[in-house]
Amino acid sequence: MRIPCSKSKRYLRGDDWLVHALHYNTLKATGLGNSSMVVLEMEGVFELEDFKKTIRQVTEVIPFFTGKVRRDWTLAPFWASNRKKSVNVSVILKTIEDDVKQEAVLSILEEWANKPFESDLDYLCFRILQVGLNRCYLAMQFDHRLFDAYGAESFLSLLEKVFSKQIKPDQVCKEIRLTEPAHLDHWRENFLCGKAVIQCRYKLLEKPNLFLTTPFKKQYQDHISVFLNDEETLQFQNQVQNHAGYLMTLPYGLYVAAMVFRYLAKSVNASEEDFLASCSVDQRYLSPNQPAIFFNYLSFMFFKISQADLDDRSGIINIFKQQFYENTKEKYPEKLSKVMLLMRIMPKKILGNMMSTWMHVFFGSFNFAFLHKCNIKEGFFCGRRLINVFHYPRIPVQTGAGIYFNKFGKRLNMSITLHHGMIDCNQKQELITVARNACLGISC
Amino acid sequence: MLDKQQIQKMLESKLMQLLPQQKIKPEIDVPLHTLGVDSMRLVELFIFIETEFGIDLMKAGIEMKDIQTIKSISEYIALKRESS
Repeated sequence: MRIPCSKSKRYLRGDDWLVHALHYNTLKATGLGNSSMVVLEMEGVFELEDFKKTIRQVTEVIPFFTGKVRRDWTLAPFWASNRKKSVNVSVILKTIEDDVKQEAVLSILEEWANKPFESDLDYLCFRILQVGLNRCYLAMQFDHRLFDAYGAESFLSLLEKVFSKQIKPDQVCKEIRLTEPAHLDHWRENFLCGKAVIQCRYKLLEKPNLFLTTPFKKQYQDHISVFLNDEETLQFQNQVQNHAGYLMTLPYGLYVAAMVFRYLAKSVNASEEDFLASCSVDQRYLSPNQPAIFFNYLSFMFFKISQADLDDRSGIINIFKQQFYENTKEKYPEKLSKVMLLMRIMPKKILGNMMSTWMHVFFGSFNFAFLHKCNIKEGFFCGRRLINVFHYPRIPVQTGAGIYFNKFGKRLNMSITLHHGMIDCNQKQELITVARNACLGISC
Repeated sequence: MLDKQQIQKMLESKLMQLLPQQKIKPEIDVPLHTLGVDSMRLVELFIFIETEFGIDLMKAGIEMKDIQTIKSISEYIALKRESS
């Protein structure tokens, strides 16, 4: 049965609705919504006024920044834009001396990543950190109701195209997908996918899994960044090739993430139960006709990790490869996306409350992602030479940690997000060593 | 029985489907990573190969040279099919 729906609306997908429930949930538990931050490190002095002008030009023509979610007569949630309201995107500049250490810069960025938006209807905010005259950082904090990490990078790339006059502001809407169908069809198929997903989850939960949740429900989250230079990234790639195989970056990255999480589990004296890792998967390639910058295109794969297996690197990577193959072959991420479509019927408060009970089961012991290719091209951003692009993702309150990789040019970055207070400063340094050693194949 | 050229064509069209940015037919002797193939796409390609040709490349003990280009994968599949 197909229910007729508007073709001009941007309906929310199941993952969007999940993000809305997550936002509600996080806001209730911590006072801070579900937002993350992407940082561009650049050379020189940032030209604030030119950038503000570009932001204004772009946000004025895109209809999503002044919207909020509503339901239409079919009860399908959609993004209702309020064109009459003016867009308010704050751009804040902070200047510090040239001689500060990198730790001080990262600490400021971490503080910014933990700031709430002024209003629940703000979805975007820019902060610029000017370090002397030689270096600057542009931090874009974004609400996940409007962007996922990949979309946030794409939006910055769009800003650069307008700034460098590759496209005119009035052509911006041609670059983005403005509508999304309601997906009110294939009901039987979606229900069957639900059955398959539940069966698979039961299998994963047969043995107990470790969830580091209860004592750490705080607003502030610690962010640990591990930056590999060109040579180290090459060494990482050699490790991938030698131990996981050609292009098998994801299983090797998961091995590194599992090593990091094992260290965390030991640090808080957790038991030796298995880990359940959720791996975020980008779903854009399934509908490639128009570039999808706004909203979420996200699903998950799940990996079961036995702590005892982690000492045998080749063995555990083979297990990950097999699980990766099975997840993909069974089309688990696509099935989960279809199940999430059905969940849109639930009010976000009810879904949010349900998630607060079983979200640790949904997101696993830790969440992992590998953004293979940065959407921001190497070269210049707003006239400044780009040095690096890295992320400050937030994690749901019930998840133990988030371990994410992104690659910019020839450099690999790793972001580890933890609930504040989980480990102390010395342990953070040890954690960086664990992560770096696992990336580079150095045995401890 | 499919020959090497036919296998090559099937792999080319599958790759074009997996890589939406690939507007023209991918060159057969270019390494897959330069075409934009990542772990996800490679595994999708392996599943296609298993479905179409009955060869599980995750278990087959392959070397990098066997799967680096469309050409080398086609040769590997053709060889495997001949020997079975």
